[in-house]
Amino acid sequence: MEHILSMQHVTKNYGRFCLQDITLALPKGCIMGLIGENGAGKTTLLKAILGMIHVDEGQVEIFHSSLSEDERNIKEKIGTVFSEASFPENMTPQQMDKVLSSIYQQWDTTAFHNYLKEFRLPLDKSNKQFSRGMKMKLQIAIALSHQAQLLLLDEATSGLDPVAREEILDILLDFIQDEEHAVLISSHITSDIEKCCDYVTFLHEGKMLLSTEKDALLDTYGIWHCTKEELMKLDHHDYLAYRVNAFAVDVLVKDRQRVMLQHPNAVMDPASLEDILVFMVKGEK
Amino acid sequence: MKGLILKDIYNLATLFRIYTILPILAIVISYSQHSLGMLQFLPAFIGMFATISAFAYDEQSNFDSFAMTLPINRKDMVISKYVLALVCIFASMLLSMVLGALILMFSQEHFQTVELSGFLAECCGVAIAMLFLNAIMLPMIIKYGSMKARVLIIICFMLLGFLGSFVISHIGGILPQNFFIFLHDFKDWLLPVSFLGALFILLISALSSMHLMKQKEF
Repeated sequence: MEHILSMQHVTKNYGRFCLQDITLALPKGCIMGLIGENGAGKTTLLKAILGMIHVDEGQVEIFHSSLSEDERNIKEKIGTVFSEASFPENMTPQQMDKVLSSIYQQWDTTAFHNYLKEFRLPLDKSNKQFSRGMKMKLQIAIALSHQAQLLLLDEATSGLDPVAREEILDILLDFIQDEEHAVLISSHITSDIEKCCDYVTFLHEGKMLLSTEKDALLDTYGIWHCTKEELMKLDHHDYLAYRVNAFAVDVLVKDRQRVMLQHPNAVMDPASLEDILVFMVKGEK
Repeated sequence: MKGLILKDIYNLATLFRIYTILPILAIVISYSQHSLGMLQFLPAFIGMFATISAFAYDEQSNFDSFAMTLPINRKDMVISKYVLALVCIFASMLLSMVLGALILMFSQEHFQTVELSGFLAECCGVAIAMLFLNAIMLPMIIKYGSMKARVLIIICFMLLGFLGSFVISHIGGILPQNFFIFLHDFKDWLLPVSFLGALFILLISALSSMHLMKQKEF
């Protein structure tokens, strides 16, 4: 499978926080979700991809090239949406259209205007009059109006109402219909990731805990409600974390079918992405 | 880069509309003082404040972070600001010259002490001084941001002004007469040489700014 983006042992040390040894690959035609709690390193990882920060170690390859070799052509094909829009406040979408058409070689004014219409964004209102959701939609309109092949979204659905979030997820699923495209979306809204992603990567305190196919994860991981004695008998390779509550111990197991075969009376629930994230952050190892 | 300059022009549009009052004020003051001094300083106001304001607007909206996602490199981000500074300085210099020439053409009797050639030379001198100022200012803004840079620039120029007045008051008197004769003979070359010198300093400044921008993280 051809990869549109690959990161090899990327490390960035800020002293109090360190993005450590990140290795991941995003295949063409796929959506990868980057999940982690606030401060896990999701935005730092996206900044490392875009060359906004200088990594201490490792390599980032996009479209089989690096930014140091071919920055302009690579960024020509990337559409980015950050959680905070950074548009000049006094400018209107119409003015931004003119500015961006001078910057992007493949800027499509017609497509931009169509997205503005679809998102009900006025052409002649300045950005400072836009709500947070409107600014987010404007970013998405821009990201989709220059023949981008890779979309990078950082908390793009945070702060949006459910209707707007649904609209954006539909657009992403439409975008990925082209097998040459790929999306990397970071979010702590795990339900959005579950809806649209093919792969998920979990980040916690700068470390990559897991990167795998979403369906495989959801089909195999489970939460076993057991006693402490039963937990002691479990091989520590078979579970990721556990949480002790008043009545029992909840264990996040990697293969729930195997555990159920070993413990036919086990009370087992399928684990959602949210469960996995909470266990990874709050659970004990 | 064209897109970045267009972005700055859109950002500064409101400011430029306010700046249209400056030439009008300068003309009124000139007539009241029988001198075109205020007109000569238009490049100073517009050349300096337009550039600082462009940086300030970008900082306010965190535009540089957005720019890093666009197909432009850090070098272009720096060059666009230098081009903006040059355009603002030379456009305002030409405006001063044209307004001054028109005023002298129609009201020479009101400005009997003012010669057109001298006025034009002084306009050029102010513009060249602004080139030097921007050469010092722009790397500071890139390194420290527009807020801190403004304070540093004021301190720099207060120190330069103090040093300059110290030099003139204490050393001017001991310079040999030949030095002043040399300056007088050289006066026709002073402006072109200063202009070339300013462009050279601006080039060094641009290279420093590119180096600073290369190190920056967003």
